[in-house]
Amino acid sequence: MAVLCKNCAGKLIFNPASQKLECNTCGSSYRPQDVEDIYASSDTKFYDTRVYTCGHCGAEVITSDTESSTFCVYCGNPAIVFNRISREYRPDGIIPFKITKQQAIDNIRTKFLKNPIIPKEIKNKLTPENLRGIYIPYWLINADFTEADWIKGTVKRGKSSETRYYSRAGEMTCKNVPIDGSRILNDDTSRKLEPFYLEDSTEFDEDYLNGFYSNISDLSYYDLRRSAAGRCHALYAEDVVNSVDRSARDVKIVDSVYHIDIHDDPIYMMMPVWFFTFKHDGKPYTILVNGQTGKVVGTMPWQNKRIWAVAITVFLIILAFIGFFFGGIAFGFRKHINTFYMHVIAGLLATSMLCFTTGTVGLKRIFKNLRLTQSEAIFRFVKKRQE
Amino acid sequence: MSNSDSALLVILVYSGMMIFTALSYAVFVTYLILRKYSDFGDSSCKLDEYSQRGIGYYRTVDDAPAMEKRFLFTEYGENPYENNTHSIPEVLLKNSGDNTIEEP
Repeated sequence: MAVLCKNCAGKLIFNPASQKLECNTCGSSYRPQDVEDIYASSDTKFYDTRVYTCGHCGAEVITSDTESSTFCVYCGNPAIVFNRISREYRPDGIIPFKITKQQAIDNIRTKFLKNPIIPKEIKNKLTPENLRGIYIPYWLINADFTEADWIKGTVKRGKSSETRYYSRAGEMTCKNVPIDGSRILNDDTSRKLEPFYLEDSTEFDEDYLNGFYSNISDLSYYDLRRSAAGRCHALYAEDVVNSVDRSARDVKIVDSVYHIDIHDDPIYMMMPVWFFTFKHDGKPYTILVNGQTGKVVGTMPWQNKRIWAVAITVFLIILAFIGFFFGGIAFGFRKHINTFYMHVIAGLLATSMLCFTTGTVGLKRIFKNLRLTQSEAIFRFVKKRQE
Repeated sequence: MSNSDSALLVILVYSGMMIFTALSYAVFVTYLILRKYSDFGDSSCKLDEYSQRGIGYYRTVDDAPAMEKRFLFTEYGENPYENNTHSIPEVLLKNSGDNTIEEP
């Protein structure tokens, strides 16, 4: 619960810029470790929180006494009501916010809003009221991991290609792998927020929560093991594919089996994240900013008209360029086509398949990221985990 | 095939190539623009950030015969950590609803 100023009994808010608790009434400031919370539970395993529930998406939002919740930080809906005071397990550590709200706004503005394809009305929505700081629960695990893989690749032999198979089995030990501890936040999204640097971590003190929201870990040990195994597999797989003969192309794992053993006592941590929530064309979007490093994560909606205009212009220019070449051949004014021009055309034709593949795969990934940014996808309750 | 048929075929082939090439570049440029201006935050954490020793390989067979797959998964399919027990934080036990730990 909130701590009060010794001088004026005003509420203290944690300021990321000074890393101190500050009183908005009289201007006094205190280091969090120097402030004694008279309401704190004597049982140090727990701390008290205020829980709000969103009537739209069902999310539970936890605040300290200093932050009254006016809308859901997950879906932006104002239908949020105070539910209860709850006692929660105290995390082992916390990385306090280092990026201020203004810095987070500036980072988003720099990344997204100074470009011509973002709709103007979104630029107007980037206000301090639409930005909320929330501590996300993570588990830091150390683990032993073994995996066996059956890998396929293609090797050139003369003018033909040959499919080859490779087998690999090995083990590794991982240290301090961060696993998102909340079912409500999608794994893909939380992974993009990394890295968090543990040098800034400190022992958990609820005073750091003043002025911010927080979430609690709702994972079971089974969930944690599944997430950790998926995460270690992703790290392992990238390395194992690179262990295959470099002359092989299209190398991919076709079958694998893996096992994980999480060491004793994973560490329960709170990591700082800024949420920018807004609605566009009736759909909710959430852009995230790492509260320690300032890294911006998310995909902004764009102005379809402008993107179509660019695509059609490129299409017509290339069409006209090549059309002139083929027309020259067909209608016999080949003498006007010089060698350089022919080489350019040959290059365009030869690389078109590569452009098509890269473009379609890339667009597919961007549309997937856009769906993740739309809050209903990000914060769905049954989190899709990597199998 | 008459001359007019072959001419038509050539025109069709050329037109198809032109349209495909133009379409490919339009798709590619659109992707580049959206990646630059709209999409942020792709991460690529490497193994060496979380593991100092990296992977210790037990088995590396190149150009493996088909039988190798069966041997591989027979030998490494069983969980080597099956009998290990650990202390688990209370909050994780509380969330599971009971104290049984299932195998992922």
